[in-house]
Amino acid sequence: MQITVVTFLHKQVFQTNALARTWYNPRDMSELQRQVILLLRAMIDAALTQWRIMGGDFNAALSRYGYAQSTSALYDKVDKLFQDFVHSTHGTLIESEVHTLRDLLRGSSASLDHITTWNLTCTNTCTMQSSTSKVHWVGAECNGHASISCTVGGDLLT
Amino acid sequence: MATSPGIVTEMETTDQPNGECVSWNLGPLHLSAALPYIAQTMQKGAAVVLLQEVLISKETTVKVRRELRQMFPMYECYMSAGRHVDVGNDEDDRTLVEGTQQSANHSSHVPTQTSFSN
Repeated sequence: MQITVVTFLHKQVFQTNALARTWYNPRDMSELQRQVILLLRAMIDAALTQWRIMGGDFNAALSRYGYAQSTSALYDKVDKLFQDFVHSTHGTLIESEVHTLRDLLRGSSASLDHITTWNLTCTNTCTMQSSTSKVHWVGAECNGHASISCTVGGDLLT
Repeated sequence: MATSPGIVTEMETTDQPNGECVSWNLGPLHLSAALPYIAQTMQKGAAVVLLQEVLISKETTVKVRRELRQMFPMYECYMSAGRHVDVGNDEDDRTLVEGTQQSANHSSHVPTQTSFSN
């Protein structure tokens, strides 16, 4: 079996002549994260004003609950690295309204799934407050993660 | 929804995008088991749908991507394969339209990224 990531772009919103670039580089968790952030930062620095949307399970949390004390140093490190990356690149991290990962056996949960934007408005125009991602516990019982959804850029993606 | 092996039918989706961005880590379901849930998500017409830990049979990326494009014609579909995972008997490799739920190593990282530019 093979693990993949799949991206769907609505044809009425996106031009279909997009250039897709893919890379794969197995490393340990913190080293992998460092490499990913280095690459992302380089891409952002190369085009500072470009609209960007980045979404997924980043294995870095804004908050965690129920994790073992022995893992706290590692998780603190990866969580801080991710948050620092978003902050230093002037990204907007759209927080999920509740945790998106749950482990019923261990009693732990965390917000690992995020949508981050650059140069796009993420403010609710009615309340003028920062948007949050909605969390949907859909799918099969064995699914560990919820799906998240949010609106970005006002009417930009309609 | 696929109705029989080898036949891929077009899924109903709203033509008008709703402006939303959706992200979902589907682990540890095999794609064939996750497909009904994916279809429910796609029916809502999100502008962007980002799926992670989508488990497929070995070396079927091109075929699966083609099937997904046929199922969801309102969307451009991009697919990037990470590493192989051992879920037991790989002889159970199934095509998208004939699989059943599989278990997987849920802790696997997928060091795969796809970026787009026009």
